[in-house]
Order: sequence, then structure tokens, then C-alpha cells
Amino acid sequence: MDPTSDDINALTIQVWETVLCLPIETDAPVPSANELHVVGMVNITGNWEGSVLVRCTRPLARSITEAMFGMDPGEASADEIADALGEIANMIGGNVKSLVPGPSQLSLPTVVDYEHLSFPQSEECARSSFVTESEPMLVTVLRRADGSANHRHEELS
Amino acid sequence: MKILIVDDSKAMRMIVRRTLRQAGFEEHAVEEAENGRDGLDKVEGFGPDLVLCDWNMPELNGIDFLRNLRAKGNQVQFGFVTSEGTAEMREMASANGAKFLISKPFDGDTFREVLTPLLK
Repeated sequence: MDPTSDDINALTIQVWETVLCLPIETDAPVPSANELHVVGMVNITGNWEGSVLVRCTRPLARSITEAMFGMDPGEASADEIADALGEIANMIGGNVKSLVPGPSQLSLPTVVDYEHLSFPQSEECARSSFVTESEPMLVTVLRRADGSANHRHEELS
Repeated sequence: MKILIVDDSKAMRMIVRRTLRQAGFEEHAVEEAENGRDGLDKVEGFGPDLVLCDWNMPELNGIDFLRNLRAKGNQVQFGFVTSEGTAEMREMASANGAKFLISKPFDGDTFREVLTPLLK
């Protein structure tokens, strides 16, 4: 069974409230993909295969990182931003893994700064959009259509 | 007492430290390791009373780190702090000698409840 958008909503809010202690609004308008440059991602492989993506703006990626590390504004390095976004994707993805049929494995997180990211062999099964720190964020779950574990990244024209 | 935090994420190591303080364990000495391989070295050098370990890490993951410790006869108190908490993983953790598995995200109350009996 696939995770639902309600599942993603609940998991994301739990991470925001317990780890970041930042306010978050749900059911926000779905942001345009070209606003969301930073993508934190984990892959699930095994009996159920897919990916969990946390997509946000660069200013929000920085705010999330500074909240996680307890830093002052402007203090986060690129490595720290990748670490923090990866850990957010890892926490949400690890909990998604618990919701899908096992056994399965969770990948280490990947973080890219790239607006044109597509998964042509996957279909979206859950999506939740948020506003936090006045910036948009989108969390999606993609199910691999053909059961294969390897996703392709393609630049859209 | 001495606590070793093993996690490949610097952000998560910081959050675990912060949560230990929130749970009232600020008097304990804390050391960090970046993965299981680094953890093996730090267990030797630091001699922790408790290891708080992530599961999914590069170099040497958490369960293999634990197996390595037990194979060497080291019986340090060991628990997982991980984003994954399936029944299979909990069984595997317990079968290899882990005392607990805390799922991320977590809060100070969870740490207090799980760790208080181990940090007396």
C-alpha cells in the first residue's frame, strides 16, 4: 500500500515541531517547481520501491539548517545545508519506509541544488505542500513504476 | 558517565546532544563519531558507558558496528537512534544486543524515559 498525502502531512509536521521547532502551515498552494531549487532525497528499494523528496527554496534550506544547528542567520555553509536537508529527507523517508510493504532498504540521503529534476519511470503517490518561514516547501513520494531501483535525472527543456 | 554519539550527520549529532541536555543528562561527558568505523576507534579511546548510534551510515553501518563490538567481547550499553523503526529492525537490533531503538524524530521526554534506567 502506498503512503498517503495525510501520512506525509503528519510526518512532516512531526519533524518540524520536534526537530526544528519552527511553525509550519499545511495545505499551502502548490509552489511552482522552478521556485524549489534545493532537493533532499532518499530512495527506498526492496518490496516497495520509490523516493521521498523534500523540495524547498534556497532561503528556506538555509533557515532549516540554521534552526537545526542553532546558528545565527547567514552562518550556515553549503556542506551544513546539504547535511541538514539530507537529514530532513532521511527522517521523513525512514518513517515512510515503515508505512510501505517490506522488507526494504533506505538509501543514504542525497541533496542537490537543481530545479529541473524529473523521474520519468516513477509516479507520484503522495504530495503535501507547506509554508514555513514564509517560504514554500513540497514533500512528495514517488513510486517506482517498473520495480527497478535506479532513477534517471533528466533536464527538462 | 560517558556517552558516545555515532551519526554521519553533524546536524543530527548536534540534535542528539541538545536532546540529551533537554532530558536532563547534561552532566555526562559526550563524544562523537561519524560512522561505525570511527565509532570502533572512539569506543577504544573514550570508553563510553552508552553508545547512541544511527543505523544507516557510510563506511560501517550501525548494526555491523554493534556486531563488531560484540564479536570483540565489548558489552557496552548500545542503542539505536534512527529514522527507521520497523519491527524487523527492532528484532535485529535486539538479537544483536542493542537495548533500545529510538525512532527519529524524538524529543527530550523519549530520551528521559528510555535512557534514565541506563545512566544511573
